[in-house]
Amino acid sequence: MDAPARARLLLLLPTTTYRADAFVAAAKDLGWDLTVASELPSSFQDQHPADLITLPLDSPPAAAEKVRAFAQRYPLSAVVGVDDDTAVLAAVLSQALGLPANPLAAVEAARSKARQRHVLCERGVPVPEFRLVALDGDQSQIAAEVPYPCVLKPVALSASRGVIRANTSEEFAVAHARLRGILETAGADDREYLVERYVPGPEFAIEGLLIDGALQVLALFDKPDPLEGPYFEETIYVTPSRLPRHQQDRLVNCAQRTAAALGLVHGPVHVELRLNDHGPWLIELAARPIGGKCGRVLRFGDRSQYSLEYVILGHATRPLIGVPPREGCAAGVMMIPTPTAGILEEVGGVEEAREQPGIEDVVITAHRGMELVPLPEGSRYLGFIFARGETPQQVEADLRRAHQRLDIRVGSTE
Amino acid sequence: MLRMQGGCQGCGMANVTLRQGIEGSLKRVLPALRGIQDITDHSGGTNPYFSSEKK
Repeated sequence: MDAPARARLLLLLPTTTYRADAFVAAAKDLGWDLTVASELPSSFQDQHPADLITLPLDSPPAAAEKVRAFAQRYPLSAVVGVDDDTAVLAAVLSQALGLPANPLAAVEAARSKARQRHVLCERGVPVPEFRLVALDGDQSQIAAEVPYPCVLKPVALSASRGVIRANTSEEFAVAHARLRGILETAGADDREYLVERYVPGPEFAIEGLLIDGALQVLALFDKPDPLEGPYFEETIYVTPSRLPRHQQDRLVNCAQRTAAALGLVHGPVHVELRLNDHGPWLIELAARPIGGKCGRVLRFGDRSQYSLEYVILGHATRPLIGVPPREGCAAGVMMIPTPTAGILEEVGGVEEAREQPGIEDVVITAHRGMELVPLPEGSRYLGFIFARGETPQQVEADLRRAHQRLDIRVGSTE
Repeated sequence: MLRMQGGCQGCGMANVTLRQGIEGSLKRVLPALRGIQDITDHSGGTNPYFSSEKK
């Protein structure tokens, strides 16, 4: 997967991303010249105008104009986004520069949970029964009409933020008030939200790479902790999946159909699905890699020498190359749950957790003095635990054991 | 080796500052420099410029 020398990659990195370290390291490993674009200026931008650029990440037309001018001086070979928003911008910029990319309509459809639902429903992909409703509409009427249990879901937030299950009309009213507050806090301008029929069953995630529209599965993750609500905090991801092969194939087939229905053809996808007696259900597809620092759990190649980000960037720059297989061992990550609201005083036991068998690392990303906000309001992870082992069962057990060693001390906000 | 302090300690963009800024600046005046190792305890930062969020 050696890349040609002296090509230049434009990496769209919002200042709030968890993925800066991994993507910058991967670009360096590939030997590419790298330009990092963020929405705020770096102190070094004037000294290194080829390497750092400020872009209005929330204004694609203005960003495209600026990047066109930049590319006149520093020709670009690829543009890569790292999250939901920059995936859309990457498509806009790539189109402006004539570089390979997903069709803009496809990434925009993937970005909006509402549009995604409509497109998939029209094209026969199994999605939960849904309804798009006005945030300011007559909620008592809506509560009387929707099926229970249902799930209230914002159209543009990520990582289960604002997703709330309601089993009754009374719970619906409480959930709606809470969702409204979350959208206001997030600064989201959504005036509509989704109400979906709750789909029972275990949940899975597929990390994939689209090459000329064909889904290359990089990993299929089990999510062993039940996600039944009222909030949907993700914790453990473990791969390979313990599902029987034929069930895995059904999930992969559903993910492939989803990508095709949306019109996505290029780059990373993160797909979340449920499986029950009726078969697979598409919960969500995002045209980006797995969130937080979770990508670190995946290594590829015969010596585990390639990171997920390396594979993604390698594909972005040389789209016809093959994808190396994932390493042979089992691997898992725990997104450390936020135990309670308050001010983080300290996380003790980190070293002890790191020394547990099978544990590769424990990374605390919240800092002392930070206000911790659990789901559904929360927008930050406390940290991540990474493990590798011979079997998925062992990895899951190791993650839980390491988590038990952590002593998370949270003080009052008053 | 480099140890960051203040708002850089624990900052989500610290590695961008290091690799795209500091390292390049030092290599201009020290062409033989092969790289910089970040030895910052980023988990000990208490007031980072940028904190990561779910996106």
